[in-house]
Amino acid sequence: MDEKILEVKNLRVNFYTYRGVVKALNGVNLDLNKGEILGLAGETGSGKSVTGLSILRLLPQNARVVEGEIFFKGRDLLKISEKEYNLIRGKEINAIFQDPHTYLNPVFTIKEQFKDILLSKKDSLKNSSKIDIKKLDEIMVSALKDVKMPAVDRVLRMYPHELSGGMKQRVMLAIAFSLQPSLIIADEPTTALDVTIQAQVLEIMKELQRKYNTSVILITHDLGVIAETCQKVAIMYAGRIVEYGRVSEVFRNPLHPYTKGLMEALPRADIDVKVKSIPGTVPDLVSPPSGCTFHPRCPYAMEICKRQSPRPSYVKERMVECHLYS
Amino acid sequence: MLVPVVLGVTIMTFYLSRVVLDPLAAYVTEKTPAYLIPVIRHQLGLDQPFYVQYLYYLRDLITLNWGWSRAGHMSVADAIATFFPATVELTTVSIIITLLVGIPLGIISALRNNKIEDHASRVFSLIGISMPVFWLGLSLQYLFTYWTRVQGWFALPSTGRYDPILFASHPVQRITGLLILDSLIQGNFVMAVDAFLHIILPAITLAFLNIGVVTRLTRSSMLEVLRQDYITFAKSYGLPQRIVIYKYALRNAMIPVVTSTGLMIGGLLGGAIMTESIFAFPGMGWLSYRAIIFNDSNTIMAYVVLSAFVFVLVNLLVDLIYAWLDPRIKY
Repeated sequence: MDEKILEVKNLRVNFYTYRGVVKALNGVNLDLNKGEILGLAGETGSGKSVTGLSILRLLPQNARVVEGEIFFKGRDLLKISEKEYNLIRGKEINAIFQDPHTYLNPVFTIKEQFKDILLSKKDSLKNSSKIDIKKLDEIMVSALKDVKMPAVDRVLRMYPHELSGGMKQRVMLAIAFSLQPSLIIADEPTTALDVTIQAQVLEIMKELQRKYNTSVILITHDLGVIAETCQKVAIMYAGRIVEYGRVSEVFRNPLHPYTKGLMEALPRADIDVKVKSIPGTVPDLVSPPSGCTFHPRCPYAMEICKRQSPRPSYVKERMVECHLYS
Repeated sequence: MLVPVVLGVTIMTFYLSRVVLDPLAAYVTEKTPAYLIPVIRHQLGLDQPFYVQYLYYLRDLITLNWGWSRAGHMSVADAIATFFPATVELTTVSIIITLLVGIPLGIISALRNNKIEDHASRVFSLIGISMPVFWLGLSLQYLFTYWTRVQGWFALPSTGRYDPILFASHPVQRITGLLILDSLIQGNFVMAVDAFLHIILPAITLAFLNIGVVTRLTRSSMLEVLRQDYITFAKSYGLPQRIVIYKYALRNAMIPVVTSTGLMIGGLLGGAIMTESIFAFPGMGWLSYRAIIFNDSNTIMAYVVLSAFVFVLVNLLVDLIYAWLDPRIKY
């Protein structure tokens, strides 16, 4: 029995810029079950990070959610107050970001930052009326041991600049999983790391995810990472999810022409095929193309694609938005 | 760095004082018989070669034997011991006012970026930076000494460091030379309050300009810091706004403010000639102004060397605070 933990419905986000209104998300629908890892893939500017930030309610000041609902455990995250949401952040929904070098505060020790996060969630730490400082230390140490950090006591006393990139990202993982949240949004968690460390960090993340049965949204442009880690995948293009399904099925048999293009753009070691790039670039979202936003780059474009946006078609658990299948 | 800079300053002041004017002038008057002049010159060693004189000068500098101050009618060392604490006191009060007003104003300005509060603080800073000190000083005297007295409310003292009549009935022993501090140590609250009332107007005058600088600097560096990823990170974990801003952002944003505050303190400790003149406040600015008028090379030299020394010292202090604020900086 799958328990739905997150449900994004028809999410639209606009950015109000000097050049005009950028329609960054144009109706995103997303479901996430408990203990599931969903990969969110797409080119730069496809809206995958904006989706993550919308769920966290951390959009920049010039961005607005103009329509849509985000249900988390039955509550609409967009309708609760900032104060209420602050109780969810850090405890129920956590984030891991791309660049561990810039996401830790340079002037405080790991321990100080970790402790502040735990203290702000002190309700969940309270056994009796008082918070146990010793218990705080225990949580921090065990969280760091969870991510296989060596010399935990020393690391806690260090400043971020004294740690390597991989270690910092593991600290972030430790902080993210320390309060055993139900949902983690990982925005390109491995992009800034070396390939060898990437694998390590992903491995640790998967392990902790299994241990605590956490749901994860993994945002990445690296389809390899998704194949390694995720059960489901959503391919985003120009602020919409164009294909959604189980990783094994989508990767074996991509339906949407854009997904096909992405697959062909993957360098492969096992067979000798030339890497093909998708012609053209991501459309300008101030004035997106008419009809299907992918039609100017699509090799299968038909007359109808220019006029009418495709409606989602469903095949079992699979969804694709393309006129070829409607 | 400290030693070579101070040495360099001593060489320059020494050279200038010998070239620009004859230091003998401090020891002779119109009535000195002409035949005595070479004798005095010899006695003072002023007929020795230049480098020998410089070495004597260095020796006397270190042993605080700084010569006679015509401007102060006492030895230069005594004059500085008398006037410098007054400036230290004025600087301290003024910097406290500056930071207490400037930093919160800058934070509000950054948080309410481009809203009415931001514009108001911008106008206020701009007025502060643009206002000439002599005009501001006189206006404050007019407003808080004359006008409020005419209205029958109160009158802040407009000149001096303390009320001499009050001082006679409530004498204060000199310990540090800082009048407010000395009074407080001796439990003499009457004089402490009096000294504070005397210092408040000149301190505000000096603070006004610096408030503008601190406010603008705090605002821009706060805005810069609030855009950083680690602030997003702190928010994404639901840390309360209070901690995000006053702990995580402020500490990072304070780094440039500390630099400029250090420079301000260095400048203020050199004495504010105009402000101290307007309020007849007996500090270093007042002394140096008199020394220049009197062509008093001993005092001017001591003043310049001391200012340089203080400046270097304050900079050292700023570096130490840096290292404390930002652990990435190591010396």
